[in-house]
Amino acid sequence: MIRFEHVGLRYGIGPEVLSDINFILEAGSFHFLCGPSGAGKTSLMNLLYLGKKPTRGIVSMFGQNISSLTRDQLVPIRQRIGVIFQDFRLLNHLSAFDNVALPMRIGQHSESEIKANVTELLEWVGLGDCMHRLPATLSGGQQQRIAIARAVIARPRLLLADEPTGNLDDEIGMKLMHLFEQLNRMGTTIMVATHNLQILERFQHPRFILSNGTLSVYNPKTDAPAVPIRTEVQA
Amino acid sequence: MSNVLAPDKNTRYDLPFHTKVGTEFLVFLTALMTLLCLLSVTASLSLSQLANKWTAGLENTLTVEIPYSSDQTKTAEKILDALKDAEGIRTAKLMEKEEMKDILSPWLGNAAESLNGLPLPALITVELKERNAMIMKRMRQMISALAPEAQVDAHEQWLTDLLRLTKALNVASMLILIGIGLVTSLTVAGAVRSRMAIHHTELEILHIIGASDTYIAGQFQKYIGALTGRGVLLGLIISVMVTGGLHVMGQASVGTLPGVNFTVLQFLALPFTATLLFALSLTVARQTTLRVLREMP
Repeated sequence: MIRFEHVGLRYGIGPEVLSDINFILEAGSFHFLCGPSGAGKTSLMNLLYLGKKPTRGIVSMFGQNISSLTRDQLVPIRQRIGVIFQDFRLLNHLSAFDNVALPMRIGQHSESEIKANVTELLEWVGLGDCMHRLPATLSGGQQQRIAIARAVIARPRLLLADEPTGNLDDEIGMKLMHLFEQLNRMGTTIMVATHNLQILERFQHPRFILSNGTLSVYNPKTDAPAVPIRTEVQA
Repeated sequence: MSNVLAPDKNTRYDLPFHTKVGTEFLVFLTALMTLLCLLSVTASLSLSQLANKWTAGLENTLTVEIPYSSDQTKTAEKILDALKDAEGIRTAKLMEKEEMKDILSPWLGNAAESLNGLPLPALITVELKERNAMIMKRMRQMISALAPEAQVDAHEQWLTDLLRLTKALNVASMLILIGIGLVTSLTVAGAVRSRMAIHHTELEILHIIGASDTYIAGQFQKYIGALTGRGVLLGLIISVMVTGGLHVMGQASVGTLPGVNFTVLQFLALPFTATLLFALSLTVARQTTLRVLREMP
């Protein structure tokens, strides 16, 4: 579903922050993206949610090479991706309901459909009684749940979460991970960037490990040493 | 205490356009631009109307002027007889003393009541079937043969000057309209760019969520439309009041000064021009948004 081949990224004329990245994300898979601060996790997530284009290599998403697509052609691809940020990135002037409804409004769904789906999803994430509150009046955990609801309301095929538990306490962080597991069981491909060891130990999903801009893979189920992915595409 | 807050009053936009960042002045600027634009159109239409009014009576007429002399009356009658039989002449009439008094009264006042003793020329007003160079030439030759001292005033210089002046004023009015359009476009583009810079983060979020450039441009267009729409409406109302006032004055005027005795179609030119200005602001808002978005990653 997602394929990176010899992908590199640099900002301006600086050094490459990502070099020769190769991997495949199969549909319905669940991966963690780990690595120390400054290893390039956010840059890789940026490439995955099409916030940036690679400076070299090929990125294929849903069967299309994104380098050859126009701005307009990237829109339907973005609509198939849900993104959750560590800092939530909610629109603070909109209520919880309107924040979650945004992807559906952009997708031009009818207001009755939006109302039914958003209400149901907010109930599901436990925010049924906070629908009309502004993000600033909610706790970090509640804001994160709004961000999750916004990311999944349009039923994305790929869900990306960048340090989703960074601003949450352990208990809420665990609940959040269980929510991701549920979504994954429903068929959503998930990539979670984290350095939370407790979560990595608790959930035994393959890990992409980024270090100095290069990627290796470790599968805790086999417990084999992490293997650098350099020339061959593997997952 | 309930900590449930109502959603922000302005949730019609995905971007926080309700925050006051100085672009609200567009309402007043557009109102002013609309007012100037419509006054310019009104002035242009009035001038055209006035020029038509002034030229309508002169286009096919000319005046034969016979200088004062002892046999002035005889000469006038001789010319008059010849003109009546000439080809291409509809009417030829010697100006009566009463008409002369009316013409001279603005300059002479009460003294015009008695024209006796004044060395006034005799004037023959000639109405042509059509203004034709051939007819004019033949008539000049005929009058010159009968009375070499008589002069023919075909109002050509007057008509040419008047038409030139009207054209120049119309061109000036058109330039003013273009200038207003340009200023409005630049202001709208500046307001859009400034809003886009302020809401850069929100724009990025919308993009990541899957909003297309046209969707975002639609939001800006809606916002700018709400501001300029109010401005255009305000400008239109003021212009209609001003034009209405001029119309009333025009109705009361004796006929020499420019009035605004517009036809329905001419009055419709005002809302039409205002609509054009509104459409221009919407187009500029959309195109500016799309252009700036194309520069973004």
